[in-house]
Amino acid sequence: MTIAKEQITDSSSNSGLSNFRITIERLIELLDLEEEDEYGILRPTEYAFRTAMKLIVEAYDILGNSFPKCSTGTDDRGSITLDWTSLEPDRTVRLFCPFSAEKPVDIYHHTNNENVVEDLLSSSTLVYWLQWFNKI
Amino acid sequence: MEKLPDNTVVYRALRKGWIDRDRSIVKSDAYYLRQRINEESISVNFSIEQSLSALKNCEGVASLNVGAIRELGLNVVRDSSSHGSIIGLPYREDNRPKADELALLLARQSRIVWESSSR
Repeated sequence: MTIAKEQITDSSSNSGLSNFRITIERLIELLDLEEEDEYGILRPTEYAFRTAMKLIVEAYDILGNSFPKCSTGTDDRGSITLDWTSLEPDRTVRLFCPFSAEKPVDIYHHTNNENVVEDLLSSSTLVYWLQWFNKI
Repeated sequence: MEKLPDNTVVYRALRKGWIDRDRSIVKSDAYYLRQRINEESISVNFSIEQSLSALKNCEGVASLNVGAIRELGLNVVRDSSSHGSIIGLPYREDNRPKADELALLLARQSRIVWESSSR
């Protein structure tokens, strides 16, 4: 698997296609992880991976050039988290794609004075919060 | 369990995927309790070397200040010469906004003090 090593740009950059490609590559890289380590499951479940891919592709279809790059990770049960982080100003969007359909997909958004988690019923909610994230 | 002075520095071993590659900062993922195993605290150590031996494939080690952790309403206790526990965090399954907020604030307080060269 080719690892994204190109010039790092800020996640609020307008190079949406590049940001989208890096995000997709980072999601695919998760499939190359060992199945588990001593902390728990490391490689995402198929459900988590499919959910994350679907939401990211749908969000990119709408956001296009304004799609911001994110970091990806897994929890100890194979859920996937995608993080869009800005330190200045302090702003975070965190998408949680659970390991199984029995758990809700949710999105967390944070600023200095707000911490909210809401269930994500469609990609339009993700798009809304990524547009909010981009307003820096 | 021994109460620690506020100026104590503790270290958290970082698993693969817990470092934001773009900014070289610690991600929230490092500070969630695992409900699957009824985890009641976040494990920390008192030296970089102790953290390095805590995880077989350690990707990095972050430092945190005990006083700053307490300012979040949490606490840190020493339960052995090499192991401490951050206590007071909720499970994400029980309180998502609070768990997400505290994980993020702990991540923001973390400073990476060692990174694997194999990343």
